[in-house]
Amino acid sequence: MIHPPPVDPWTCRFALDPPASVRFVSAAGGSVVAAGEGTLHLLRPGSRRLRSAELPPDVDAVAVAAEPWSPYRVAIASPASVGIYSGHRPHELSVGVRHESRKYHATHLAWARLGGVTQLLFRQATGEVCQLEPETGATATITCPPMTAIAADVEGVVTMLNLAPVAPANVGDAWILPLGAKQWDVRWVDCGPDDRRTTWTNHVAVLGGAVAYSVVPGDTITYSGGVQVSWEGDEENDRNTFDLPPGVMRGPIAFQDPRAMFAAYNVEGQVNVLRWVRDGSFTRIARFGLGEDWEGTPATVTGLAWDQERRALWAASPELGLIEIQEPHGAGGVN
Amino acid sequence: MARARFARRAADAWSVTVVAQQPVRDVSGAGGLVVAGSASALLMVRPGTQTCKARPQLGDLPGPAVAVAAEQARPWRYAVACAGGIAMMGLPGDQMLTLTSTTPEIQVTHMAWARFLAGREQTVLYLRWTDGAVGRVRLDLGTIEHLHVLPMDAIASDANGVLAMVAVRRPAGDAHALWTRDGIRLEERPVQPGPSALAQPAGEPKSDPETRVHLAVADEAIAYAIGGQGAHVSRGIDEDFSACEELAQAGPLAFHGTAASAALFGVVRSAAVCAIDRAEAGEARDVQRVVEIVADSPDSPRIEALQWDASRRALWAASPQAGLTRVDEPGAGGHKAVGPS
Repeated sequence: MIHPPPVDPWTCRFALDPPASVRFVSAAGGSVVAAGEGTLHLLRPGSRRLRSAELPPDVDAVAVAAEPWSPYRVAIASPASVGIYSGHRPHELSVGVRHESRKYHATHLAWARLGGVTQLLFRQATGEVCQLEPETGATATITCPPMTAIAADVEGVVTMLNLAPVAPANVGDAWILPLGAKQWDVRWVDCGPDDRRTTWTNHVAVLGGAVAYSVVPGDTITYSGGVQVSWEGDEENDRNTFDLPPGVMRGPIAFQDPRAMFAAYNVEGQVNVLRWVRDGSFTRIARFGLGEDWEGTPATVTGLAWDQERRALWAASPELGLIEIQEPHGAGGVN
Repeated sequence: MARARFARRAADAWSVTVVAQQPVRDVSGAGGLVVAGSASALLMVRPGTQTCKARPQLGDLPGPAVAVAAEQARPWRYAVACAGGIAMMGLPGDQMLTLTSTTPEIQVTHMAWARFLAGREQTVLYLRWTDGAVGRVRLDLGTIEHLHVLPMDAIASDANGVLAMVAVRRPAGDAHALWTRDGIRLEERPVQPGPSALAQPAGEPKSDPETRVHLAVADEAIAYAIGGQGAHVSRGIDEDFSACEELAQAGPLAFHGTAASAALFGVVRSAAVCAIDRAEAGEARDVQRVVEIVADSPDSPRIEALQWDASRRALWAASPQAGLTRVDEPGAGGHKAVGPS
C-alpha cells in the first residue's frame, strides 16, 4: 500500500545563539523587532542578518512595535517612556514621550495611518489611548472609553479592545478603524462591568476585518482565560460576533491571514504553538519546553508575530530567546 | 586609490560616437529601445536598429523633457516627463496617454519601468515627484498608486525590472534605500545620509534641494551619488553602503550589466574635463577611463545621465552641451550610427 507523504512540518530554529531572554516581538513589512533583558534584536526588511543592540540603560522594554512601512522605525515602551527610534544603528531616539508617573506607563503600541499620516498609538495602563506623530512629536488623546488593549495590522488598520463597560452598558466592545475610514466600527464583546479580565494580560490582534483577543489570567489555577475571534463578515455570515475557537487556544496570538491565526498556549512548563484555519483545521505546529515525560527545560512564549515577507512566525520566549517557526516551503530563514 | 587610465591597447579602447548634437537631459533604454529627451524632440533608437530618429516634442505638454523612461522589453512602451506632466507612448493602437499636472509646482523628476507582481506579472511605470512622493501608474486600475514610503530622492530600475529608490536627504537613521524585485516586498538597507534639505544643524553644509540624486541598480547592487559628490555602493541586502573611492567625484552612474557584481560607470567632471570612468567591483578595483571630453570653453560639458544598453553593448550619455553620445564597448563590433533625421 502506498502511503501519502507526511504533511510538511513547520520548521523551528533559535535565532539567538546563545539564547538570550526575549519577551516581546513585533513583525511588520519585513521588519522584525524583539526585545528583552536590555537588548534589542532587529531584522531589517529583506535582511537575513539578525542584529542586536543594547538598549539605553533607562529603557526597560515593556512593549515594542515595528513600523510596517518606510523608514521602518522602532517604537519601544518602557515603564517611564515611549520612544520612536531609528531602525538603523545607533538607533537614535527621534521623538519620545516621558510619563509623569509610572502609573501612566504604556502597555501596548500600534503603528497606524490616520488620515494618511503615520501615527504611533500607545495604550496607557490607565486605559487611555494616545497618539504620537513621529514627524512633529505632537501628541493627542483619542476620545474613547478606557481600553484594555490595542493593536494594528501591516496596513495600519487599528483595533482597540474595551473589556470594562461602563454601566448601564453590559457588554464590552472592540473598536476597529478600517483603512481610510473616518469612523470606527464597533463589535460587541461579551463581558460584564467590573470584569476582572481588565487586570489580566491581554493580547489583541487585527488583520483587515478580523479581530481576536486573548486574556491570560495571572492565576491560571482559578481562571482559565482564552481566545475569542471575530472574523471578517462575509455575505453568508455578516454577524461579526466573537466566538471561541474549536480547541483550546490561549496565550499570545497573531493572525497569519484573514482566515488563519496562531496562539501560543503555555501550560505547565510547555508551550504549544497552535494554528487555526477558519472553518477548517486546528493543528499544533510546534511545541517547546517540557516533554511528555516532564523532562527538559520549562519554557514559555510571551509574544507572537507573523512575518508575511519571510513566511515565518516569530515567538518571543524568556527561556529560549527568539524562535523562528518557518512555514512549510517558506521563503527561507535567518542565517 | 587607483587613478583612472585609458586603455593601453587600441583593442581595449571604447569607441565614441556623437549621435545627436542637441541638448539632451536624460536617456533611458536598458533593453534595446533607447529614448533620450532633448529640448525640442524625443530621440529614439528602436530595438534592433542603429538609427536614431527624432520625434517632435509632445504638443500638449509644455516645456522640454526632464526625464524619460523606456520599457526594457516588449511592448516597448516609453514615457517622457515635462514641466506640465507626463506622456506615455507605445500603448496598444499607438495610443498616447497624457497626464497633466494639477499642481505645476510639483513635477516628475525620475521615472523607471519595473516589475510588479500583483496577481499577474506586469511592468509598470514608477514616478518620483519633486516633493519626494513615489507612485506607480496602474493602467489596469486607471490610477496612480502612491507608495507608503518616506519622500525619496531618486528611483531607478535595471534591465530586469528590479526597482530601487533612495532617501538620502534625511537625518541619520532615517536615510535608507529600498529595493524590490516584485514591487510588493520592499527590502531596505541604510545609506550614508547626505546634507539634509529638511533640517540643517549649524555648521553643516547647506544642501541644494535641486541637486539631483543619481541612482543605479543592477540586481541586488545599488549605487547612488548626490550631485557630483561621489558614488556610494552596496552590492547586497546585508552589505552596507560604502564610498567608491575610484569614483569619488562621480555624478551620474550606470552599472555595466545586470549582475550584482557588475562594474560601475560614473561621470567625473572638473572645470577642464568631463570624463566617464569605469570601476570594477571587488577589493582591488581597477578603474578605467572610458571617454574624456576636454573643454574648449571655460566650463567643461556636463553629462546628466548614463544608460548601459546590453543589447548593443554600448553606454549612452546625455549631455545638455555635448548632446547624445554612444560609447561602444571594446569588441562590441562595428555599427553604423546615424544621427536623427
